[in-house]
Amino acid sequence: MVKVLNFLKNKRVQYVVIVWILLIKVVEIVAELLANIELLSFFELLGFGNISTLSRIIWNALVAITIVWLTYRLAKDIFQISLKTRQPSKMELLSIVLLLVWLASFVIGVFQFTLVASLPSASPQLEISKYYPPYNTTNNGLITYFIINETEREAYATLDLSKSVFSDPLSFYEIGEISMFGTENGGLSYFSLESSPIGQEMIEMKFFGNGTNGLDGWFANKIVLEKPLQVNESTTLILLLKLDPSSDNTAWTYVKLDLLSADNGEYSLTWKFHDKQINSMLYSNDRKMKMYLLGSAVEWVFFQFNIKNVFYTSFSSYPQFLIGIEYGVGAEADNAITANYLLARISDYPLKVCGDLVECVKPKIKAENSRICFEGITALKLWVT
Amino acid sequence: MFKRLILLGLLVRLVLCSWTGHPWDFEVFIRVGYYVAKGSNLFGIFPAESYHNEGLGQPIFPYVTGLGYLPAWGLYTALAYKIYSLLPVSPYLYYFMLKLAPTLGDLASTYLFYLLTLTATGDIKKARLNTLTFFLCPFIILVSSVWGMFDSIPLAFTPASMLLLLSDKPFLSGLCLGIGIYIKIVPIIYIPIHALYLNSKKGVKEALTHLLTTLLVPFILTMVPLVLFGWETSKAAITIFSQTQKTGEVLTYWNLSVLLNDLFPETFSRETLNEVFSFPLVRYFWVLGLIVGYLLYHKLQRNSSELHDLNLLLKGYLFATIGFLLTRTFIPEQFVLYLAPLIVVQAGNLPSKRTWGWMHVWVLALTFTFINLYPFAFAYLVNPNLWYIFSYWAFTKPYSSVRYFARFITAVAFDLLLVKILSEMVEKHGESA
Repeated sequence: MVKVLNFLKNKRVQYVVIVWILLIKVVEIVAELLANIELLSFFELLGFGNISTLSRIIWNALVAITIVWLTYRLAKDIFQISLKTRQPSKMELLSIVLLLVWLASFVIGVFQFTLVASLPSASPQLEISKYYPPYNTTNNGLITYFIINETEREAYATLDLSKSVFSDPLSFYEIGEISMFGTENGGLSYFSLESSPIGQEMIEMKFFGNGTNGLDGWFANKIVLEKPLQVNESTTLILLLKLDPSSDNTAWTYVKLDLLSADNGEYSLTWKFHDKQINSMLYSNDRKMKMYLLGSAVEWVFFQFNIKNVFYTSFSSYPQFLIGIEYGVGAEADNAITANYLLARISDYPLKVCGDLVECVKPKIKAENSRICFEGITALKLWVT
Repeated sequence: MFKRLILLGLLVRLVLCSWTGHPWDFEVFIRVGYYVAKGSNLFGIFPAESYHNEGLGQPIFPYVTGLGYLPAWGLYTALAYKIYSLLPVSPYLYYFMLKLAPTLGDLASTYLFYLLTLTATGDIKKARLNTLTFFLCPFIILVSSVWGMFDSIPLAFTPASMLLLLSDKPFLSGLCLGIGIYIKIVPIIYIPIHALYLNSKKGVKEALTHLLTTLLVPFILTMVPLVLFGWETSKAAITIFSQTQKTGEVLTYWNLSVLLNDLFPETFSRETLNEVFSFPLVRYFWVLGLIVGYLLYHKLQRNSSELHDLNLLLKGYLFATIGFLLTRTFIPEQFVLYLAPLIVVQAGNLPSKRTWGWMHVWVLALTFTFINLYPFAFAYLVNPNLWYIFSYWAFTKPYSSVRYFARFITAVAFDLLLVKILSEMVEKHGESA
């Protein structure tokens, strides 16, 4: 221990450690700056975007201490300034203790304030956000109307689909053929039907890796439809999902549709969502499967796809029947990953609000006469800001 | 006799290479070669594509990941598949093709170590002895011809680059080191050693030119296939950068994390350990190791004008390698090959002054390898049950705990040996200075 302390007292050793810590900080800053450029977003891998708040606080505190330490060393070694200490009096000691106590309580107070002020409940939007129950629904249930209160009537409003409640949001939840790889034994990977505190029904997908570094693991469910589903002009896949990020940016979740073309060819369309930003399209070697990699899904994301259009664009052929659905979650196998699907639905119609096709989680809408027209899915509660 | 022994080493390699392989790494090479040869993106291989192919390799892992290297090795595996597909008599021909490059890498490295020792000592007997020490080393044979790892190829380029540097050909030296980096990125850690050496001999301009040449070569060689085949740059970068995000595993004391997780999964959960390994100072600890290695070299260079330039550079290489091996959280066994300059460094030592050296290094590395993966599992291509039996014992408690414990102890012994070698080199330098 004494040897280690003596070693650390060495001026050169101190400079090496200072340079090392500051070099890492520079890497972090440069990586973050470069990652902001779309073409260079991969630089985020060199940074520390995935560390916890506690680690970040410790890390930044270490950097701050290093800077103070460097200043002290430079002052001493270059400018020959040294701090000479003398034995403090009892009064001075007491003052220092009081100062430290005050400083600690101040830091804790600031921390608590920051925590409370950054909570979602502290958002001023809450004051004007509200749940609206349906006012009227058409006979066939395709269109639901909502009336915004007179006092809060606004021509423009914002919906939040991730906080809204839908009727029958999941059209493909049943246990099919489960496949897995790189998972921990003991049922830690699973699919379950969950209900949120506000009554949202969702599929929760859990992947718990077996700790094997460098291996991709997954947990998937394949459902072969007993009765193939006819694909028409407006058959739409609607997805509203969120993926918890992994520790090493390797998490993903996907939905795959197996389809029969008009000439009885079997094709697959896969939509895959990662925790890191990846936008790409890939074909299998036999060009019978196309995979769309659609960016990061660590926040709620909403997508809807007209199956016929996507199929034709992918395979230059028309789809006739949907014969199977597969979905899953995975990551490099030393991770525990959760994906939640609030909407996972094959719908006969796309989701439209006030006549406009919805393209994001928080669509801006124009309510006509305080009335919101919601079609494609039956909504039970709408969250409107 | 010398030539016969070389032929014997070659024969042993050829006998072993077509039916053995590391159950994970070699399986990845087999599949990547197949898919890239069929037109897949080397950096875009995803589970649905890297599925096992009937007749090639074994289905012990239904899916495997892609490669985490620059494109050189992936392209070679594709070439190997293309050659095999011209005459697809047996998949063993494909496995042989995959191992051919590492075997040639062994031969090239051997020849270069011969030249290095001859330059360092001027003694042909010592040169031959060192050549055999390397070429007949069981660990080297295992890594190249049994495992299927290709580190002997970039390893060959590093002494070649060193010899060119000493022959006053810094551009060719940079080119050579750049190719080594292109094949496997590890030799990148030697660039500062070259730069410091050139700076002291020829000035900062030459050093910077050399640095730039060395970095441009792998960059350009990487960009060519990306542009040619339309592969995405971002995916290539993600593949490479993800190498900085490894948790504690294999031949390092950091593998204690695996043992702790196995013994106390609640306390040392994977989340907690991931948190530790993603902490900046842990994740980039190797940067500190390299800084120390370069400083040691710088000090050696400044204080030892009487030291032969070759010895100086070799020690610089070793400082950087040991600094890296002692601090990185993920050290695959094949990285041990980069310690081979020890053979040459210790060639000049008198037998009476026997030091901790290459033999101790490879014996410990081999012991670790066989604890980590028992020898018969390398024959999984012949019978996949050889893998299944191992994997049952390796991952089932309490056997897994024993294995993880033995791995940890061997890794600590290995790291202590590295510390010992490093301190011996530093002390010896202190004495001579």
